[in-house]
Amino acid sequence: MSDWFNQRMPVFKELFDHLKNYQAPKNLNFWYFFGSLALLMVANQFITGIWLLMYYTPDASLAMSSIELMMREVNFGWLFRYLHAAGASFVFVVIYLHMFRGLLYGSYQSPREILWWTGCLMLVIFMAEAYTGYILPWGQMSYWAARVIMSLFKAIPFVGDSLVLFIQGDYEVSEVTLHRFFAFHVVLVPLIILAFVGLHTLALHAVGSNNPDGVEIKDHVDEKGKPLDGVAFHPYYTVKDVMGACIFLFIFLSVVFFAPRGWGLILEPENFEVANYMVTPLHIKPSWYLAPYYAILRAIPSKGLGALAMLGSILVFALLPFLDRSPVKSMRYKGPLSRMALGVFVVAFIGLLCVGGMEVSPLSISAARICSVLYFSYFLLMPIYTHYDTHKPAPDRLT
Amino acid sequence: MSRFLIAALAIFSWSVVSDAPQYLFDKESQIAAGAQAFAQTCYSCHSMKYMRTDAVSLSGGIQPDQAPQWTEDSWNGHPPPDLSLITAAKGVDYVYSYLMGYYVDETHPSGFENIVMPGTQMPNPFAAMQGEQELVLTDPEVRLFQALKLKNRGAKSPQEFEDYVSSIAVYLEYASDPSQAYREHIGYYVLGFLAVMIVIMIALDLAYWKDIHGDHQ
Amino acid sequence: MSEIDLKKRRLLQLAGVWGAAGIVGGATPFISSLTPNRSARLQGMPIEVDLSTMKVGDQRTIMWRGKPIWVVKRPASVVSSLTGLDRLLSDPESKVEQQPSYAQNLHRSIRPDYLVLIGICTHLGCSPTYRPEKGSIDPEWPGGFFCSCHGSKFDMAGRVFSGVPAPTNLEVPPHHFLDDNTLVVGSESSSE
Ligand code: HEM
Ligand code: FES
Repeated sequence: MSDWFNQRMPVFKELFDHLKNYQAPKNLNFWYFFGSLALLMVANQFITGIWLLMYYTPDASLAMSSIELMMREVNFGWLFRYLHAAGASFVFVVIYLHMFRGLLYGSYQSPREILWWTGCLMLVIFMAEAYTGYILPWGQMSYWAARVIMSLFKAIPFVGDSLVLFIQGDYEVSEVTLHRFFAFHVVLVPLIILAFVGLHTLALHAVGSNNPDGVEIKDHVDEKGKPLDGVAFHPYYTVKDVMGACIFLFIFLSVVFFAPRGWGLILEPENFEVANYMVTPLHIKPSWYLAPYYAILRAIPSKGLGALAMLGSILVFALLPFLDRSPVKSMRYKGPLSRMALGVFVVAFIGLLCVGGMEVSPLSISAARICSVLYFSYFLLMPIYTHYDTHKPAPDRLT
Repeated sequence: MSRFLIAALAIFSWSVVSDAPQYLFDKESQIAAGAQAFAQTCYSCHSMKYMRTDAVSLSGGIQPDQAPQWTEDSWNGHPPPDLSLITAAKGVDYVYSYLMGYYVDETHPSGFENIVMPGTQMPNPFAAMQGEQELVLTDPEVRLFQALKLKNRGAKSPQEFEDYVSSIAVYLEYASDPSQAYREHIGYYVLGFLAVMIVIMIALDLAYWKDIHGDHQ
Repeated sequence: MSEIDLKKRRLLQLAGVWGAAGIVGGATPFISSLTPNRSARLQGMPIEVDLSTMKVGDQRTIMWRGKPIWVVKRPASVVSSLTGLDRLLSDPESKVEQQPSYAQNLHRSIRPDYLVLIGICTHLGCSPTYRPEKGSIDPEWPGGFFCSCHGSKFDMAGRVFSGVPAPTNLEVPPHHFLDDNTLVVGSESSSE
């Protein structure tokens, strides 16, 4: 039966053969879970999204009530809503850890530049997906956050104002904006995401995974061309990844079932009030995963430069392949300067994340400024400190 | 002096003058009692639109066809809001303290002021039930029950009144997310199931990787 | 087979079984959500109809579970003329179960005067029209319901005429009377 099928349509066969032959370094550690976990979360968003779509109404007067009534009247309606909302936060948890792994083991270095860039683009695309999705419940925070972000685009010289009118389709964020963001969120951006997940995987399979030692397994192959330090992805890493997925699901579902509002980080209290064009909430803050960039924006006392710095803080990741002058990839063999720089960057990132969610005060502004400087120094000083840094020689083969 | 106090309180109201409702051991019956109390005292002005098919709300007397309706410009442009999500937006402690927080103030048109939300449009719904409270506080760093003293008793004893308001707060908390009890109930099974799956997968992982680690040595 | 392989195989089976259970469990909410939701279920509950304003000969249509329900107050003359139609009908004695047992009688209703029917043609689901006037569809037309979609005809008890596309009589929904002037559609007795 399976032969009959495989002879005519070999998709599954090809896939399995590929995974059995695909060689991955044998020393991948838990940091390498986050790629497959990102896939898992993308699947979660797609499936729960389809279910939400059966009940959600993209209309300013019905948006919130369609969601709230679904949560109460549809069997397990609350589950889909919480899986999707908490899922959005966990997508970013996973992506940030996934990216950190790249910084840690130098995964952005040759030959993985394009792989890294597809990832960087995906980060931006996911922000767009999160932003367009966040507007859909049409709560106070949805509405006012949308307005704040929209006015950021106005900072673009010459075309800013007309661009904003063009995107929001009205003189202010309105019902029209809601409808088109709905179209972006459920069709346009997901299609782009799918395409990029495909490109990302393709690029990965062309160059193969990096690893915690940062040395290429392809440099040492046996007479059949199989890397000496490689293992077949299937079954070794399929089993490992399923194990990782189970552990991750345990954490994710603990939040979904026991703290679905995520202490105000997943569903903000302000967003339980329907959008009101006349009243701004006292304290507008972005979702936690966008807070670092928002903090950078606020740290700079000029609208244009602030928006530029915010954009730069996201795009600067793409420059890493050029900035890193170290002869070794992995932090295991890099010297003290590089290690310190990465440590400082993590602290700055978390600092910005906290500050971005706080109300503006002289203290929070100075903290944001210090963290912004540290954030950018990590990148912009990298050519210097990696050049002068010492390093241990990387081993020839995996340790 | 009291002007100043109120201003000070307004700033601190959120963090300082906030008390928590008492949860009874039998939360379900407290919720049901709260639905009745809500129907009796609040439903004449506040709708509960998302609870239109909820059994507890319906049997408590919160019937959708009797929902109050206000035009946008009634009540000086602040018509009583729908309360289905109020505790999600403001927190259950806030709602409880607000309901407990009315005190006599002749300067206020309705004769009552509220310590949690000064200048509130909502007339004191509990005057007859609770009796009259007065502001006795001199120090704003103080909890609600220390700031207000009962001047003369109403139809309910202080404990009865406290139970009454608690039940309303607990009902509103339930209304903001009726899935909670069931969600947590099945949550334990879900996590238990996953815990077993994790153990199986770790064992499987070790079994597979034994060969790799073996030939590595 | 070596010991280690056996252990692997056992664990793999265990993981497969437990994982499959997990997938079934995980799919359950998604499938269960597709059934009618609580508000649809509440709207599908029995409804009461006030009959006090109905005059003899009147026909009323109410909605129950998204279907039109007809209530017709038949004159005594119409009820007595139901007997003479047998040779024109395909199921004059209502043998096919298109009605609760208490409506399996000549007038297909609990009370001879009130006819309660689901107003959906048993052919392909159009809603027929009420045509009580004799001779209005064809010269022999005794009065009844006519489905204009494909020309099915039903008499004043919802019985189908022979030679038309509809195979069976119109369906009688579960119903009962609370009192002389109150009809309940959707349940068989007051205790339900
Ligand atoms: C939802 C979005 C993403 C998905 C679904 C995804 C998926 C994956 C998967 C399945 C892998 C292989 C497993 C692994 O190495 O962990 C991978 C590797 C990689 N990803 Fe992503 N990724 C996403 C976002 C990103 C982002 C935002 C970046 C960087 C800015 C990035 C950069 C990389 C790099 C450099 C590798 C290779 C790492 C190495 O071999 O050391 N990815 N990705
Ligand atoms: S549907 Fe009525 S005759 Fe075909």
